[in-house]
Amino acid sequence: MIVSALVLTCTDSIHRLAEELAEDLRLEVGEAQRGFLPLVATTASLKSSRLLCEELRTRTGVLDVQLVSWSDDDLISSTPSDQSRTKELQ
Amino acid sequence: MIPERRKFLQGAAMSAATLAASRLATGESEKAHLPTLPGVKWDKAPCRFCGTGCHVMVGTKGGKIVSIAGDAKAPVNQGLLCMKGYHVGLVLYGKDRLKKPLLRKGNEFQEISWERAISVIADRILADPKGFALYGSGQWTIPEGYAAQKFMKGGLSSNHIDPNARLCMASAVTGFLATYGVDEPAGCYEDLDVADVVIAWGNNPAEMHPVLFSRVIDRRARGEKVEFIDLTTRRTRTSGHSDRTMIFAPQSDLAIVNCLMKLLVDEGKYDKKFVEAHCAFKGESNPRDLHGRKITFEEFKKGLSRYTLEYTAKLSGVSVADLRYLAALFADPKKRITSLWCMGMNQHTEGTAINTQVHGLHLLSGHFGKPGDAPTSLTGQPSACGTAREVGTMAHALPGGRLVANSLHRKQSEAFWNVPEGRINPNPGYHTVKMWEQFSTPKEKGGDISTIWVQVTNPGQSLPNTNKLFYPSRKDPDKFLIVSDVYPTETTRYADLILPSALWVEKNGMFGNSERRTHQWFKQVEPPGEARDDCWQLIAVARELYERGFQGMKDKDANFLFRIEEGGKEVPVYKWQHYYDANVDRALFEEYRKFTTLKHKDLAPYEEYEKARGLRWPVVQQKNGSWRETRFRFSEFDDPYVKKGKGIDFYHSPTEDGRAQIWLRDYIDPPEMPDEKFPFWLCTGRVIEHWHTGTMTMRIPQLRQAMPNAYVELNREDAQALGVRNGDTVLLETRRGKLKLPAWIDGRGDPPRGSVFVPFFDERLLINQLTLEAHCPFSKEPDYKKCAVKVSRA
Repeated sequence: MIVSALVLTCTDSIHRLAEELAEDLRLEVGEAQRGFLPLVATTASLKSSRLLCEELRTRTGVLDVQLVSWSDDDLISSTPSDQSRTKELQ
Repeated sequence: MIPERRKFLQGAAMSAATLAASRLATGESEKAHLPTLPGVKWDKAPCRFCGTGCHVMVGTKGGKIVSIAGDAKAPVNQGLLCMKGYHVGLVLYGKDRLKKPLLRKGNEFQEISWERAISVIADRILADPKGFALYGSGQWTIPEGYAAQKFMKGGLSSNHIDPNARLCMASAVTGFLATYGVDEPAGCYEDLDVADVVIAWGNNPAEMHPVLFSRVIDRRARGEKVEFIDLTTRRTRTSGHSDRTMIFAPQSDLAIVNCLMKLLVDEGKYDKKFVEAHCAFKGESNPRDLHGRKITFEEFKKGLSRYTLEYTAKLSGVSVADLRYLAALFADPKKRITSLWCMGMNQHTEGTAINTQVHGLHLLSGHFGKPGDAPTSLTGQPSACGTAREVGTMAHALPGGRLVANSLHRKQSEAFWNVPEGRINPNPGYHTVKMWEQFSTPKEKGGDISTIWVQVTNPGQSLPNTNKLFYPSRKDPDKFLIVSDVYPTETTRYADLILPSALWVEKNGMFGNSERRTHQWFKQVEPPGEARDDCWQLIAVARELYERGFQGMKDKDANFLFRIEEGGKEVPVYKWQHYYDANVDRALFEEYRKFTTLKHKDLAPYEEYEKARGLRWPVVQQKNGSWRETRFRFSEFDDPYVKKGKGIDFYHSPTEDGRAQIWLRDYIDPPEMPDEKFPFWLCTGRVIEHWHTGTMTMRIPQLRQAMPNAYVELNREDAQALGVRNGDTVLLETRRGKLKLPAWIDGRGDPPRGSVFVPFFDERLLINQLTLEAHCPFSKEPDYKKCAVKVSRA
């Protein structure tokens, strides 16, 4: 299974959109932040993850979809420009 | 287990998404961030593990590493790390770090002083200088490897020095030399960002080079079109992400490449213009050697005639349709194709041949010299390229691509070292397999290596056929084994003298990664107890020999061979308390830098690397005084050494006419194949959680828990036929040894019928007691990927 972190760039209707998306079983919706909506998508494959992004892009109220990171059961994960993950060692 | 993990991943993903949304909302730059931890000092360092060369930011507080973050300024990984990289800081803090020199007394070890340890080594060297050998690794930093080279070749006049890199990438070296006349890839990681097709040749980058693999897969996730083709002998995690997986019979990769070349030639779909302008053809000489003999295009074409689609499909198991598909990709000039390989092609009794053939396929089809079109070998160790290949810590080599057998190269090296002419021995020393064979052979039977000093590696676990190459010497009282390491290992267990070493950011260092990138870092924490830098250990022994009047450790002016100055004054760095009074790394690197221009592998001054997250050679000074790295070698648009108007120029061509060589190399059966008594193929390799022999990663609790022990992967149908279920104990037997392992069916990897796979990281389950030491005739690299094995339920 592929777990993807997404951020939607939204128009004014962000809260209504968040409510709609919350009904989609593939998605977990985070707290909206001034026009940006964090989401977690869980899909069967990278292909279906990509298709989901395309589907989201076409929705009313969505200006853009950004993939922040993705992970799968292979323990390969990617955050191309994200430094937020740090390992507390001691 | 899986749902829990998924829950964790979902939580982590939500944090990442929320943080990204918050940064977008507040207009903050993602790249400006490092975790805010009070009192933590951050500094850069390349990761200690594989050859990718990712950079981490190391957070230290109170003399300890407290945090690791991916380095967003690093072009290699752009902030991303793999699971080993995120845990790299913990490698320093295993409970059983070696902290004192230890000398064997019967079956026990006795703590001794460093002075005594240095004296013992000097005694062994002086008693039999010709019988002394140094065995190092691709984890030696560049200055360490350079010091080791100078110590052996410039000091002891002995070429018995070789790195464990002989076991992992020597075939890549001979492949590059035979094709281009100079080592290391022309392309770089940017190829992965623009290639239309990436082909993994016997390579599992999803586990071995996960950051590079993610670089490709991320493109797909972003909606870009990039096709990944997995040519493999077993299904792996890479297969799971590939567009096509083609499973081939072990060793038949040679036939596959020949078949593809035949299709391109027969159908007139090779790049005639590129070949006529930039290539020449070579065939095998008799007897075979690395130089071969010049052949015509017609001879080349005729030599390929055996590799019909039907013949190759039958031999390899790859379907005719898949072979045609691959050939069509190479026939398409619009596609940009990058080939990746690592141990699958290198640990091969025809390792040089398969390396030259993949280069040849790219050259023949013109898929070379443009971003995205590149044959690129990857390395497994952080400085296999920087130290083993570039410094040349191999039995036949001198720094900067020179050879001990070449009188001009010896003279140049002697001049750089200011040692008398004739100091360097013209005869190549023992390569790894031969060195250990001689060590394990009694003196009266010709075993002329009496002492080996091992630094930064674990041959007791990583050599092939250890029952022949390692253990016999441990029963011979005339043979003395010295080991510098950070933790107890299978090698220290049998050592006569153990020296505790500083690790990673406990010392200054420089590494060179798979894409010609040289990294630098500074010491950030103190080593534990009496652990000391490997480089200091070498210099201290050299000084002891000098003090005892050994002429080899003096230069022409009777100065100490490792005379280090700071501010015009000599610093006694051979005394540990003064070792960091000078920057020894900088002094050695600046000395080594003079060697690098011969093969156009120019390096910048040390200070340039302090500022950068690595620079790719050749690094050439510009008119304005700045230093410019090179991404694409041999291509006029980027390589400053290509003459204007040439387009592509192989300026170190083996035929000295600017041409690369396309070789005709036949498929040859491996020396050991399954038979009635040993009916299965045995393949060995690595897993994502552990790095090589697991010395470091098995001491990181998170990684050890994720993969606690070795196993044998079995095909389900084979398991059923053998009456083996998941977790059952299975007995593996080869002509060299036996081992019991738990079975894993339908696990992470899935071998085809008739073959099994075992990882080599587990020191309690030593698979290299079973492997074969047969090696490539040119590179001398052993084949760990195939031998015959009997499999039964224990």
